[in-house]
Amino acid sequence: MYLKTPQASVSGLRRQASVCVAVAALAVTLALGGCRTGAAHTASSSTHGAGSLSNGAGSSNSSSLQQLQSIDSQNQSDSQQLSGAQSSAGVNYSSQESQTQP
Amino acid sequence: MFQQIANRARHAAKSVALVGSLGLMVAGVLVPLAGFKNAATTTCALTDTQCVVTFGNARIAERESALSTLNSHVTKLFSAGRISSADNTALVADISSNESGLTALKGQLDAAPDAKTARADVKLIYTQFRIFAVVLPRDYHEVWMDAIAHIDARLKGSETIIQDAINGAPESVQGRAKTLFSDYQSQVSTAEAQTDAAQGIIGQLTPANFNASPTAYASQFGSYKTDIQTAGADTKQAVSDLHQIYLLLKSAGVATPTPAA
Repeated sequence: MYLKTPQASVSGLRRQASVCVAVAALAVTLALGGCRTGAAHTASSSTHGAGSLSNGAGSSNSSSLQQLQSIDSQNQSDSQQLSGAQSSAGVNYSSQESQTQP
Repeated sequence: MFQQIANRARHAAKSVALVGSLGLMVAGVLVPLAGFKNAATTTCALTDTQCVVTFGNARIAERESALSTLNSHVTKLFSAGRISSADNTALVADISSNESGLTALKGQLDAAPDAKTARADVKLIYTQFRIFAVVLPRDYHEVWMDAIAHIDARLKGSETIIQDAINGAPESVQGRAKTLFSDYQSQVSTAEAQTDAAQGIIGQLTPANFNASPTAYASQFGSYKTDIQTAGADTKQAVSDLHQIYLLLKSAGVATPTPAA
């Protein structure tokens, strides 16, 4: 029967522990890195998404009101011209034409 | 002393009043006469050709001036984007046609060999052209109608935008906004129908139809005018509705969705 010496056993345990620590460290590093990447990606997506929603709602709100304002403004201006055209049409031109002979 | 001065003052006041009254009476007679003084009072001797030609040329000049004013009116509205290019072209063509016709008639009148021929030419100013009786009332109303139609086209084209804006409005203002929008649509639709009706009459408003039956012409022109007046009132109401919708949504801080493409 072959018995390991205590020194040899301690040395083996140390190597195994070192390997375990290294593997664990690598796993933690990878895990954290992955998490950070994922988190960063998620945050980026969220920011982008929120930005899109915010910009979308803001621009459509502003856009619709601006369009209405623009149409309303044109209408007000045209209404004044319309009143002018109405006044010109209201003149009694017929009264200036009484058939006559010199 | 004072009594004498007072008596003289009273006499002076009476004199002034008497002169003033006489002045007013004379003015009361003269002013109406001046008002009635027009081309109809011009008379020419039976064989005075030049007198008739001068009279006719003056009447032609009045009409050319009036057509020029109409042309400026049309150009102004077209330049301001208030009537369409097609409407502008039609109106300008009608004005040009009458102007060139009057120019030709003037040449014919100037060359009249005798007073009788000149009188026949003068008669054409009325029977053939009827600038004041037919052309100006018809065309000025047409300009008005074209301006109405131009606004109505924009109002009609804005309905989707307005509907989208109302859909995004808070519940608290949607009821009022929808009522206004419903009236807006009704007014725009009626105005469109009225301008279509007026457009259908315009071709019959000619000097020839006026000559054939002034009464029937007057009836048709009355319908034409009423159609345009109604369209104008409807359009103004639609413009007012939209203005109220805009103010309502603006005050409500409306968050509207993006209008559908």
